[in-house]
Amino acid sequence: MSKDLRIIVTTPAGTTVELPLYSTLTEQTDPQETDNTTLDGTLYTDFVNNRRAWRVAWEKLKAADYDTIRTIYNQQYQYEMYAKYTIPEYGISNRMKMNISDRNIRLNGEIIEGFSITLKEQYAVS
Amino acid sequence: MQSVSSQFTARANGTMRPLSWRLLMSFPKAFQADVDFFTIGVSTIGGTDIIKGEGNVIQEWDKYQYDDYSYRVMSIEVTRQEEMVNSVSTAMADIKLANYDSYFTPDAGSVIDNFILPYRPSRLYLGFGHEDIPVFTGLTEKMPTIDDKSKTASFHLIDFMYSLFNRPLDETILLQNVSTDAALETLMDAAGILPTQYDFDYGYNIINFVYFEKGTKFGDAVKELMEAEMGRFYMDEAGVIRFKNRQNFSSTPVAYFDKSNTIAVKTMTQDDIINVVEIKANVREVQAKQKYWELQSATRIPAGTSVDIWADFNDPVTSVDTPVYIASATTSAFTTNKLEDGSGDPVASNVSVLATRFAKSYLMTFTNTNTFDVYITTIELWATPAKIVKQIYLRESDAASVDEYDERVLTIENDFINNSGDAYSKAHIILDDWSTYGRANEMTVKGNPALQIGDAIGCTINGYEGTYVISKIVNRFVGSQFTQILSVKERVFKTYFTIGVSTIGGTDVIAP
Repeated sequence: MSKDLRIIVTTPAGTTVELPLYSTLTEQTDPQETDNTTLDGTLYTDFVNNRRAWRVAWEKLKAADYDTIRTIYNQQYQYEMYAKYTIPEYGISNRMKMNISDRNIRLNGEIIEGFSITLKEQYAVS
Repeated sequence: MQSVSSQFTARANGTMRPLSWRLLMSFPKAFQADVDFFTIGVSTIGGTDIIKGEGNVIQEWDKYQYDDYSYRVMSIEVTRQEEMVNSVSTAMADIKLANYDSYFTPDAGSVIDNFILPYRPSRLYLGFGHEDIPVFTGLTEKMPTIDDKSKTASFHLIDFMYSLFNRPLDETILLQNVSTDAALETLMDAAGILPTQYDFDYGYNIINFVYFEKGTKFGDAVKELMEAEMGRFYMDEAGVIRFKNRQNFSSTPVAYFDKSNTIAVKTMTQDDIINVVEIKANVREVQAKQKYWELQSATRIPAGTSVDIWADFNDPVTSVDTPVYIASATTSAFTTNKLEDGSGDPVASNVSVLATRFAKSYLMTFTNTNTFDVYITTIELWATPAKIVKQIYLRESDAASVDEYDERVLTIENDFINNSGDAYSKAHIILDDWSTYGRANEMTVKGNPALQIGDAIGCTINGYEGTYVISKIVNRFVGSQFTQILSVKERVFKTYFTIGVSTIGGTDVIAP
């Protein structure tokens, strides 16, 4: 049974877009916590929550697909809100902040190479 | 120590500690007088009624309508400190809030724009998991400090005691033969604090004569009473004003610290040492009614006019008889004459007096409705003055400590210490607690917000072993870290003699 690893975006403008097929999807965790060490070396941790982010990378991305992604990125600022991202396979449907990597332009502008986005979830998971 | 659940304590001592915090502020200061304790079946969830906590008292500050700003908190630091000797505690807090939308920036169009003002009621809570407990109840002191670069707003908060302490008394207070708690209750009443807002122990110190002049700051009055009582006066974390008498200390540690739950420890400086205590007191007692003041020279009252004559007293007086025209020898009287030297005709009619008594002065307004000038030639005032009947001077020292550190003198001048026995006991309590070096430490610990000033803690770290009392707590919450810094003082606990419990010849000592 094939897995549904699509990333479906409800943009700040209200349209629904599916991100182009990516090469890697990486789940990142960023716990808000502090490790403390006592006089005898005992470790304990104060934590607030665990924040999750998703890194989506493309080895090569068509310029038109890049533009689609870039539009979503720009709309964050234009509409002053995050887009909503759904990954059916993992039951995720959350608003996330999109950060984008550098745009490495290749082949007369037709291909963007080694491009990635990081989607940081608006709300912590715990 | 504040009452918390066993789960709260387990989390405080645990290895993975989920921090929680809450900030409530009332910028509009909307007041709801009908706030009550939450009653199942009557109160509504999300309504204004409050959950009954440790204190069985609804405070006036419980009745403000607060908004929850927890989601904007970037840092919280609450400092609670007890002043040495007079044992009055106050608290302050600093909070930094996210201000990305200029919500707290004055004149920036925020919905609270008109309410970004000093003295906004604020409450802070810290804890673990879903259980947070009050750590501060007070007011913003000033306008916020806005940092446009980091998009933050910082507020300095003071507890309600700060504002109360700076309030001047608008009437003179004279009391006789009162205990500390009775004197405090009178002060509270004068400051407009309702009996439902405080919880006092009874006081051991009985004061012959309490005198606070109009304009005395409330805080100065309380500190003087506490210095004599050697009790503790503070507003607790939930906003209840409390007085604990000098025997209301528990020597049983509420928490123990060793190397596994202490991050740093250091000894405070020898500047804290006291090895000589001087106590000076002027004991006043109200005297029987007596002739207390006389007019020094005749005063002319022109026809159809009034003249004020002030009598200034050396002592406060609890009563003054209103002077009457030539009366008996045991009450206040005045005489009049047509001539200054009294050789003319006396004037028996149409001269009246209106008198107002102040603590140390007396205003007499004489009115002459005759068609000729009249001289007030004599006035005698009979009053009940509170005179100094005894002066106490006592100097006690710890010889061993003086040999080692030279004299480090604490001088207490307090007229509410009324006998030499009390003075002796107080001096030795202070010497017991303060004459030795290294018995005051600052400890950074794996903190528990439930710890309070006055709690006893046990320490088993080499070189610091002992039972200490917390005199200062700093609770710091920044980002994802809760740090607690305790200033602790080793205390000599004594069991005081109790009739029916202690045995004569036993170890219990007579209470000061």
